[in-house]
Amino acid sequence: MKGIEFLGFIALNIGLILMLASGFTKDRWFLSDRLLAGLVAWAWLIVALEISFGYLGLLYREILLSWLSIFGIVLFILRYRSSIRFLRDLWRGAWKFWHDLSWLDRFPGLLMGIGGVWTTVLIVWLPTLDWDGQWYHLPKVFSRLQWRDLRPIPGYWPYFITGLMETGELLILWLVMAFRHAWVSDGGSWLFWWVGILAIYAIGRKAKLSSRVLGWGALIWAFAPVVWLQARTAHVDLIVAGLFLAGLNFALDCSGSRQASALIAMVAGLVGGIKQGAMIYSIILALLWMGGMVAQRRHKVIERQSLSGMIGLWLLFSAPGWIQYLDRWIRYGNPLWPVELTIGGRVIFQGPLTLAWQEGNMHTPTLIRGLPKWLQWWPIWLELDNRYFYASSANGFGPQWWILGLPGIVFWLLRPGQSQRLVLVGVSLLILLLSPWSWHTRYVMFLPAIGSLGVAEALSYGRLCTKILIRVLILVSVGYVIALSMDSPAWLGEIRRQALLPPEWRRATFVGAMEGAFRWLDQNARGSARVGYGDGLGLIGMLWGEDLRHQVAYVKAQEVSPQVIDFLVAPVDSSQDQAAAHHPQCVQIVEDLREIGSLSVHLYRCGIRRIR
Amino acid sequence: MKRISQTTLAELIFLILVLIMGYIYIREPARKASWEQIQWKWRVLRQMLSLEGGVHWVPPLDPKAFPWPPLARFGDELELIGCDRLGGNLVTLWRARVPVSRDYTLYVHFTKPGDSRSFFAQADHLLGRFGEGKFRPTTQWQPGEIVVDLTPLPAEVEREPSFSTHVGLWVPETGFRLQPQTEQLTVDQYGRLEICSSSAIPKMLDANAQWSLFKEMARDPQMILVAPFDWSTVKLNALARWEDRLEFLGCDVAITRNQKEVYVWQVTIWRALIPLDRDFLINLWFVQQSKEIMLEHLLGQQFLDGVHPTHTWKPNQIMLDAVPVPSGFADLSKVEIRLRIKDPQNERFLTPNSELLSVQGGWLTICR
Repeated sequence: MKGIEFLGFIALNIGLILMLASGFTKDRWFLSDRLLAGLVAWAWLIVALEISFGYLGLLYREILLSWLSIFGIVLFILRYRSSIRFLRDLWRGAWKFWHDLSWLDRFPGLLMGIGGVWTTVLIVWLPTLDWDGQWYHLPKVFSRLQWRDLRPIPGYWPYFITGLMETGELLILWLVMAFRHAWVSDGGSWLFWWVGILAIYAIGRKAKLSSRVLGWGALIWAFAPVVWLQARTAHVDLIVAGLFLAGLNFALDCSGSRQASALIAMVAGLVGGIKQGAMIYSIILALLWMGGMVAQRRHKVIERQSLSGMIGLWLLFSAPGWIQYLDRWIRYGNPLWPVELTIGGRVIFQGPLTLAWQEGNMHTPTLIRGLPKWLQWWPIWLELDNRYFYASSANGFGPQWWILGLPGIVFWLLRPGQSQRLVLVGVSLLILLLSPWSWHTRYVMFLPAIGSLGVAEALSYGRLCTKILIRVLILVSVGYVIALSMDSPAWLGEIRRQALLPPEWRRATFVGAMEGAFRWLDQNARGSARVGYGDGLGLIGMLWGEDLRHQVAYVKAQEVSPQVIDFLVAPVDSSQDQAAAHHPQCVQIVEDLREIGSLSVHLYRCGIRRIR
Repeated sequence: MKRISQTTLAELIFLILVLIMGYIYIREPARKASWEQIQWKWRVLRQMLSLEGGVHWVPPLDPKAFPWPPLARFGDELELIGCDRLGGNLVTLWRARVPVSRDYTLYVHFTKPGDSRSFFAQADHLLGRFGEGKFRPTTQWQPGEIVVDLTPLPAEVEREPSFSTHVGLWVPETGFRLQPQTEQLTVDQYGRLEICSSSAIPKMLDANAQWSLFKEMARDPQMILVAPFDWSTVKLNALARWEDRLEFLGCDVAITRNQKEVYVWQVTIWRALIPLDRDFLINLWFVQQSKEIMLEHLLGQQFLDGVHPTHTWKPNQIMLDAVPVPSGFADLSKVEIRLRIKDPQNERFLTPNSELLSVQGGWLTICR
């Protein structure tokens, strides 16, 4: 992407976010609420358009960009006064916010700025280095880009590539589509790190906490290792957490207005559409919204007529989520496919991904195996393992959660005051208890944010010595997390090496096959070669090439022929391997047996025609 | 009044909890390992930021010697495959069998005959030390990769005329020692592995070309950012053949950098089928839209040191040829590269035979 195109892309997105934010005009809302509303509406708009064009088979970069540009222009024409007013208010508000802070209280903002910039640097310097990203998140993104529609993606990993919902991938797709290169594919979560921070601030303001303390509180969440590290990967858990916190913020708005309802519906639709496991977050948001509506009706604020209107509104704005469930229901007879739904031992919807199957594949740390759910959390939160990782199963919330976050919540609950804190803590407990693997920090990534609010409360109402102690402990904890994880998932030498390379030569090499068979393919398959892969092959995101020039697809054994593929990467002894070995027009080019299991591969060249 | 007291009580409970939780957190053994990691990262960072003596980045060693049988195995993850003493260092060679789950620590105990103590000198560090303050911990190792660990010999060891060396691995977080499994070496009563003591263990390192590269790199300020892959570790079949003499196996890339510039080298992979009696020339033709350039050089040109001309090639040995990509053709995805082989004795071009690549007028279209 050329410089001017890049600036245009950034300007279009920022412009859309600001114009959408200006449309949320509720008087009682802080600027942070409105900005958050703009961000949520922007994400919803991108996903809604992608799904619409996807079903029409028109998922082209040019079409999407044109529609968004036209939408932006129309919005500007219709609302230019309010947009400019909002921009002015935002500028003034931001200036006043910064100006009113003491030097000391500006420090968290600076720290978050540095953390965000460093994350951006790593996104730019490093190729996508995470397993799940290369395994199934990015193959979904690249397949959409390749086929320009929403067809079920055939694959050996149907549970993950075909089955899992894909709102998160559609958000990553927008970036990849704009930049037309894989280097940016680990940047999809970055924005939602900021969304989460902003949501904590907005919730805190609703809980009557001052700006001065909320920055310090937000550090608890922003630098929880699993949160910070996922901002530089192609995972989707941070998108769930950031959006859920935004949804909680709107759910705490007690007005029952259409705007708040629409935003909660948008968040519920987006979050539920990210993966089946995130459904619980959507349900919680829906319940909170319903609770709010019932309360409002009791106070006769909302009439019956407007309530039915709001349900319609809800259905419309949550469509990007439920439409994906409907799609699976029609295709597979199970809206949650491939997940099996069992209630009270009775199978409601059948699917291959049973709880037992997932339990067996979860790599539960030995330490917590067999423990009751509520006892599983503590060893993980205490962090008996010191290596931080974007998907670590043995830690993830950092010392700040254990030392400050948990006591902060206790303080928050013991203090007299509003019911909001009970709602937030109750919701957290409910999610912890209902989520199947809530000990896994990445599945409940929103949680430290509740600690953030508790700590902010303690900073507001504690004595001077308590305030000093909290600030010192936050700084030490965040420093500890940064020192231990700043280079994750690479190491410093590798970051430096990649940074010194010309951008087009940055490659992930974290398993042997990436240096052998995958490297050969990268260097020798010309142009948009059709690359097939066989049963069991992992990390297939690499097959597209960094410049995404290849056409990649899973092929069955009977499809192995020069009419379908130019190259085949197949695990040794897979059915495709055997089919290619016996095919007169397929020649084995590389045999890479250095890895064990499915990354021990044969690479075939099928056909003798020149590829261009 | 009631509110204040409730807040005070909440604050008191908060402070007590912070102290208790803080204490529990700090006394966890994993914190010690965290502190070691932070110190190591700080040393690496300081070294990387320091430009004294140029930049010394040491790439991961390629698994050239993969067929070496392990001398001992630690758990399911690591194998000890060799040892040596070089200068003031004990050198141990390791191989990761699978992705390694944690950063192991190596302990080395030195014993001497007639000494009743379990050791008279010892060294202990994060496994993967390759220089002063330089570490590549085991979680960074790739399966199959051979990694060198350097342990500086303590001064008292260097003074001893005769001593034995015992090594082992332990997990810093738990203090747990891994029990070695071996058929070739001796494990003593403490579970330590005796190494470098038998004449049966050859001086493997000198035979290891990658170790030579490692030593070479330490001298050369030129950094190899991407080395050509060691293609002899996989099986390659030919894309094109010139009679029964020479095979073309594919393209690769090497990228080097000195203090000022980055060089991209177009690498081609070759195999001689018989001993070649002459030094063939290679023509590489770079074509990009309206511009083109043709290069000719002795086949077997290396990307850092000299030429290995074709008469020196052994049959079935994987050989490389490297040429710096001409300026103006840096975006190789947009460049069409063609090659042909010239016989220097009669100035004729050899006719390639290929069903997989396009052949036109003796030119093969290659690479991506």
